[in-house]
Amino acid sequence: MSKIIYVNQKLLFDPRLNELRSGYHYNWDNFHGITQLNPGHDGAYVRAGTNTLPLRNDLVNCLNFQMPLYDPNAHVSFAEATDFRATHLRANRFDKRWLILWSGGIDSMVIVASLLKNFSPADLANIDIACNRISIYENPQFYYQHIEPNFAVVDSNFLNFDQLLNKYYIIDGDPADQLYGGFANRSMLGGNAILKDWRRDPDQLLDMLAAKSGRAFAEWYYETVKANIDSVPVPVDNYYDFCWWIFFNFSWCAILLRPLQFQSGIDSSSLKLYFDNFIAWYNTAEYQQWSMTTRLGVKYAVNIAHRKLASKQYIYEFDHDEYYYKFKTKMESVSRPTPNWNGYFCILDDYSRLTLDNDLEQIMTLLPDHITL
Amino acid sequence: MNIQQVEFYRDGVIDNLPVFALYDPVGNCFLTVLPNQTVAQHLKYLVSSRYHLHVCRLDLASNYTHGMLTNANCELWSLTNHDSIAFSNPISTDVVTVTELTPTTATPDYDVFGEKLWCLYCTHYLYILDNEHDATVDPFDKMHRDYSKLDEYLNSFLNINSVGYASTAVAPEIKNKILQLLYLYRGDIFELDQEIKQLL
Repeated sequence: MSKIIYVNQKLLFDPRLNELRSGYHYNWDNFHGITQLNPGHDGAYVRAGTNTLPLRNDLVNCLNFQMPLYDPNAHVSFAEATDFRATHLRANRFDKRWLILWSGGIDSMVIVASLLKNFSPADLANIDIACNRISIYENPQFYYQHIEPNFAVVDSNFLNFDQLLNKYYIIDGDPADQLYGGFANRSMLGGNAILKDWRRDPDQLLDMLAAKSGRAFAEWYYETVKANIDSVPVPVDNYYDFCWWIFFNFSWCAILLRPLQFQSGIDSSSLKLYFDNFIAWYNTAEYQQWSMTTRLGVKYAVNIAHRKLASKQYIYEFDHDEYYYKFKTKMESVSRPTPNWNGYFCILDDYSRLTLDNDLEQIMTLLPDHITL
Repeated sequence: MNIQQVEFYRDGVIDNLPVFALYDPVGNCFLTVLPNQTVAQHLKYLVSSRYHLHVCRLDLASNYTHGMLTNANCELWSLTNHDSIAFSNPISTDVVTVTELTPTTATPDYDVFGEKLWCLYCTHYLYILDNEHDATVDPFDKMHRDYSKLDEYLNSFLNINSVGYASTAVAPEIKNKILQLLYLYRGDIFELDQEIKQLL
């Protein structure tokens, strides 16, 4: 019999599941509050340490979402991890064209810079860039100087995800936010706040969490994450680290599954098509090891322009654009239509997906086994 | 160089008009001051190829006094209500009302004078290209410019060529060319100025 390996966290609060949820002595409102930390994705599955959340995390192994073991002696640099990623993909996944989703933002800028740095003109001819006008506005200098002369450009406003997955390897800039500090990259301008010790001086962190989902949530979530952090050897010291960890550990799975919302099909072949042809650039052991072993001065600094610092340095070493390096800050990606945003409720271990509208009875049967309470 | 001596310098503050400024979150300071909200918002877009600034209104701050803050010294000032700045939405042109002005101790890691100069320069041409004006001293001049703006808008779609009007508006193709230059330019400001003056 099939089992659920992933649940769309937001849909867990559909009224049709009220009775099932109320059968547990658990404050589901707090769990729901996690979905407000970042509107773009969930944070319901724990990759490392004690699972302090109520869902079974089998997907980490089933879908190959593991976190590498922390190695304090690993000294891979961001540039090494990036160049390795480019050359490794070139050696192993170049049997059809690539489509790079370029937003002009820092994460996708690193990808394109690495291709221009490491690939020959003949290789670049096998690569297309998908973007829209807003992408160009985000970094017009780079577009006119480096993209227009070197790549064919595809209008990202009119992409058919399923068709493209048959034609291309599609490459995007996830999960870079998870390697860095998540929402800490675009908030806490006060600067020094990001360096506060979250264990000894948590008030401002709690205020920030409360602003997103309320005081009760903030206190529950703080303790929930603390219990998880206390169970791992990874150093998590200041506010920025805390924000990094909840993205790195709790949101990794959801962000790698987020593009499925743009697929029209939900059968097992659709998921296989996605896993075979969609490449999340930053989903490598090298990047994760880098992320676990670097902190202040490498990954980030106090000034708001120095968040995602290593990525900006990599870009700067390629294009020498001082304005992008000194002023670029995190921007939200342009929202795209999401035809399947609320389409499927869960993924099963046979790669099929179920919807509340069509498969409610099966969901009610399978869901209790996915809840660890 | 004294910034007040450059050709396109303006204080940015005029009696009885509101005072807007563009705030730079990276340097934690105001990079420019001007009395016209439309120009401030267009300026924000125009310089977005370099940095994302936030449109603020200064004259409603509790400690604001006329003349305390002009383009001669705006980089020495910041605001206390940082929470009002939409850091995660740097493209917003919503006007942030500054509740209190505060001297800033920040030492930005960039050429503040050069960027102030650039903002002043772009402002100077935006007034010309947007056919905008702040001074209300000469009623005839004001009426002429108002008629010119009316003509600029209406004739953009009526396209009446049989009779003309002595408009102060810049021809659309020249305006677009200059805006493109300002948006993408990274070189010497005085060399650019020669090029733009030739276009005009």
